[in-house]
Amino acid sequence: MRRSLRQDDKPIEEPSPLPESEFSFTLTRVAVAQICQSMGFSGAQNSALEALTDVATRYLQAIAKLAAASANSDGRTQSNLPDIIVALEDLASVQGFPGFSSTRSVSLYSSPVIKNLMKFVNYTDEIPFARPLPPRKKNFQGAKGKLLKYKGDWDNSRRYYLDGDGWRHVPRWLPAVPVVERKENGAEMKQEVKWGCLDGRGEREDENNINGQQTYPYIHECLQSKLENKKIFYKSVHKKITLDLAIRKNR
Amino acid sequence: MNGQTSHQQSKDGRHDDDAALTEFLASLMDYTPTIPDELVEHYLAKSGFQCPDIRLTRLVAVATQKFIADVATDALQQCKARQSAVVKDKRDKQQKDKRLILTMDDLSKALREYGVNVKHQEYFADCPSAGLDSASREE
Repeated sequence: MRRSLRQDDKPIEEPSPLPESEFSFTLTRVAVAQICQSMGFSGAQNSALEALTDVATRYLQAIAKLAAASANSDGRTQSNLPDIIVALEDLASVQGFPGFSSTRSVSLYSSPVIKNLMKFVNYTDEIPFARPLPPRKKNFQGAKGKLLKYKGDWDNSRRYYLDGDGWRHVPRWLPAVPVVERKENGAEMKQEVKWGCLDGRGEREDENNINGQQTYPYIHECLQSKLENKKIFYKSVHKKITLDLAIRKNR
Repeated sequence: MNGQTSHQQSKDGRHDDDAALTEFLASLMDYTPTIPDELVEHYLAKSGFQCPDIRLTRLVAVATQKFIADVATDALQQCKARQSAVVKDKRDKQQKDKRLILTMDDLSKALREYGVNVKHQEYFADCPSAGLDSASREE
């Protein structure tokens, strides 16, 4: 991203936002590449690196799912340490680890899985992530945390539904709502005939630009329905006035 | 008598385990896992895992890091084993030892033991001269 040094401010061209899944995948790929490098690899085939990253993301999600499932089976919504240990043991059961035969005989906390992890932490050097992460809100829709900044009037109705991290009407213990990526093609969206019945005018120009900003489809529908209601209201008022005029004329 | 002593021993063992575990969790805050916290939280939230405790997030990150490190180690061993098996020229081997590359072949062999089956196409031929060009280049 280059900044223009000219006085006339051309808007800084931001790189096209990646969809959310690609963004997190790219970040994970960097981390996995760092781990491989620390093991002694000096290079990697692209396809091999991507396959390993995919495995890493699936492993992460598998731990999360198993831990959440074990918490839910106990009637809890938040997972805790024994849930994670159970999940890790389940995942490690494929390959097996020393001491597997004595799992869960005494206590989960003495599980060899945790002991292996402790050894790993003690004996391995830290490998910090290569680059500082950008702030979360700009690159994709539906990011957790700081989502929509106050942009304009149209945003007010949406802010009501946001409660900092999440949405007020969605319980916190549910997994994240999947992101639907919409293409902002304002010109191609359907435009209904709105005020044509009263004035005989055609469709209004720039229906999708309110206050010069691109509206979102949801808000667009809300406004449309409001306009429809107003249209119906004014129709009825119009009829009533004409009726009244007709009645007065006849008197 | 014997039952009591063993019971006491197991209790002491549990205390030790608990102490070691709390110490471990505390040490996790010093150890920065390679996978950043926000990224881990994103994947955890995607799958329905909820926990306000950062230490558990780090634990999951460290577990994933260990898993990937194990897979990478196995792949490295496969790579080295293959290099030592094919010994033609001494000079070539010395040069190649410096550059260990993670290939799809080694990775699939390493992942097989972890229950992940990775199959990879050897090549894609989109036109009849696809393979011929490289052969002509080598000559």
